[in-house]
Amino acid sequence: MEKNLGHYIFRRALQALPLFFGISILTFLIVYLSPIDPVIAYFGADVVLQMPEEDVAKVKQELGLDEPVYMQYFLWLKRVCQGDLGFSRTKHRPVLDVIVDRFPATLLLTVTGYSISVILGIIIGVLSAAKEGSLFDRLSLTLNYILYSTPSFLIALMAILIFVVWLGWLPPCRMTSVTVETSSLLFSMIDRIKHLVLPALVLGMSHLAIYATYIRSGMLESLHKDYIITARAKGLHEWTITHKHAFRNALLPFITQLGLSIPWLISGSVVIETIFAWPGIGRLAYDAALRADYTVLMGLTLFTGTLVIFGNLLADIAYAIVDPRVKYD
Amino acid sequence: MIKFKSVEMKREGYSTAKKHKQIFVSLALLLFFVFIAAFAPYLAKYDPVEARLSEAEQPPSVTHPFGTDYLGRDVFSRVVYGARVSLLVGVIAAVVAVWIGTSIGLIAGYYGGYLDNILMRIVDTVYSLPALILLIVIMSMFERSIESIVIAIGLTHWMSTARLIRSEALSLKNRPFVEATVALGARESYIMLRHIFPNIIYIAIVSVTLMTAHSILTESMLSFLGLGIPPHESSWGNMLTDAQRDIMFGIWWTTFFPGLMIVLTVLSITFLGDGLRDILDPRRESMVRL
Repeated sequence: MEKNLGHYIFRRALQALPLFFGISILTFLIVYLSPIDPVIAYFGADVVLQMPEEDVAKVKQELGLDEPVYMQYFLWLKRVCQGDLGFSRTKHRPVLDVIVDRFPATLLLTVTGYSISVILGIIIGVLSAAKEGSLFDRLSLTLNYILYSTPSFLIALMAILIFVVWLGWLPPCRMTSVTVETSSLLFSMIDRIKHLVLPALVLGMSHLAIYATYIRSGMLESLHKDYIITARAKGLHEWTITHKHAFRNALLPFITQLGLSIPWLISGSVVIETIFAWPGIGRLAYDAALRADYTVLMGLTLFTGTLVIFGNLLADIAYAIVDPRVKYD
Repeated sequence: MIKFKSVEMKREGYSTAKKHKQIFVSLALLLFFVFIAAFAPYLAKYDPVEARLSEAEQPPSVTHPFGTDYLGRDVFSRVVYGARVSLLVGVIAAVVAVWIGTSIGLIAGYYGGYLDNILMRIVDTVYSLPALILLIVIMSMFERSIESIVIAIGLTHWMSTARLIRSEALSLKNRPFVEATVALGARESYIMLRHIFPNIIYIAIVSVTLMTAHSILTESMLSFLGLGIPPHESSWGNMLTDAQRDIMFGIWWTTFFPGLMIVLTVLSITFLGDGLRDILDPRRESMVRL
């Protein structure tokens, strides 16, 4: 059994390899096809214009820009594998350093938002499936449709209007207050949480509808299975039936769903981080796009793509561990 | 065959009637928005781009039912004109996305083999990249225009359709009526157009409808971020570019009304798509994975 699982993980990881190649090719193509001269993308127009002709030629040779396309790709891939994602001309630092610096903030925001949407989504989904057709069920379905149709930036703006401008409960943006450096540990903790609440809630809200609907339909499907009838025939309590028998089985496909929603989460964090001036990779992507910093955009594409592949891999492995019916071959 | 169909209809009669009502209501609402877009010049009292600084930032009143923005432009007139761009971009981008998806899915499903393998790995690859990151990259490389938005949305939203069409084409290929046509010596293009395509067109129709809702959301998001529709055109998303600053001063009407229009339009299109899907293609779930 254990050996089989290890084998399965290995095979599944092998399947992910072509995806890595695919993403690297796509990232390379984006910049290769972009209208910007690669030397300028690397150093910035102001620097290149001041460079002597020979230096530009030398740089071109070093970057392998005189080689045919496929050689350029392999040279680039080699540099990427060595951890060299290029140099950001707007941040004046290596791209990898910038991304690594910014990533923890995004992780904090997305994990908090994710947890909120998953927990609330499960609760709402289970409750509305358990009472199918009830007022609560119909209300939550309607609300889900409205949430699904509302762009996340609109939820964010309305939340800012209500909780920041009208009520004045929460700070509007950034991760910490300006004064936080000089204050005590407890105060800075509270300050951080206050700054986190609004963006995390908004990020969670935009996924809540999808999760609740997914759990609801999964629950309804498993509530009509034979083993539920058996459980009813045994005279089990309705609570035990819905929450132990049906829920566990509805949760299984949800694990895959969780892995699949990582791209949405990153897309969402671009919008939320931009609105709340949250110093994560989403905000970084937005800034880089406005200033046409292609090395950063390229690095982010590669980084987020890798993140998604890993996420899906983990979800599949988790599924295989939880569900004993998965065949390992 | 006909008898079989009628029995099925009877069994699903109740829910079908309910779905017809859903389609009817959402279609009526949608036609209302199309009407607004079509007759914009007659409905709007003010020029949507003309600035009147003396009337800036007025709350909703009788003369300005939706208030005015920071340049004194009438929000109602801008919302009415914005319907044109938003609906147009939504529909065209959806058609482009579904057209790409249908072509790729059809080729992959029908021809199979290596081609199928390569095309599906491309689908997986594009799926692994967060759509907004990809959109930002594409938009930052092109001039900001309506055409580039349509192309960018089309290039990032074709994968779900491609997967659906592929699996349908794959199963159709092995049905007796297709095999019979092959045995009769029909050309591949004939089989594709006469036998495969008519049987998958319903997937494309449902996809276009649901994708239109998605494109409108995406366009508004890009325009809000300042990476979408150029500033001189007015779309609902574009009206929200300055929304964040307005909100901080408590000026809610410049955000609320265009936002409401987006929500109502997307809601009615999603309802329509869901209703159509339940009738045409009951196996699919729309809200999960678009």
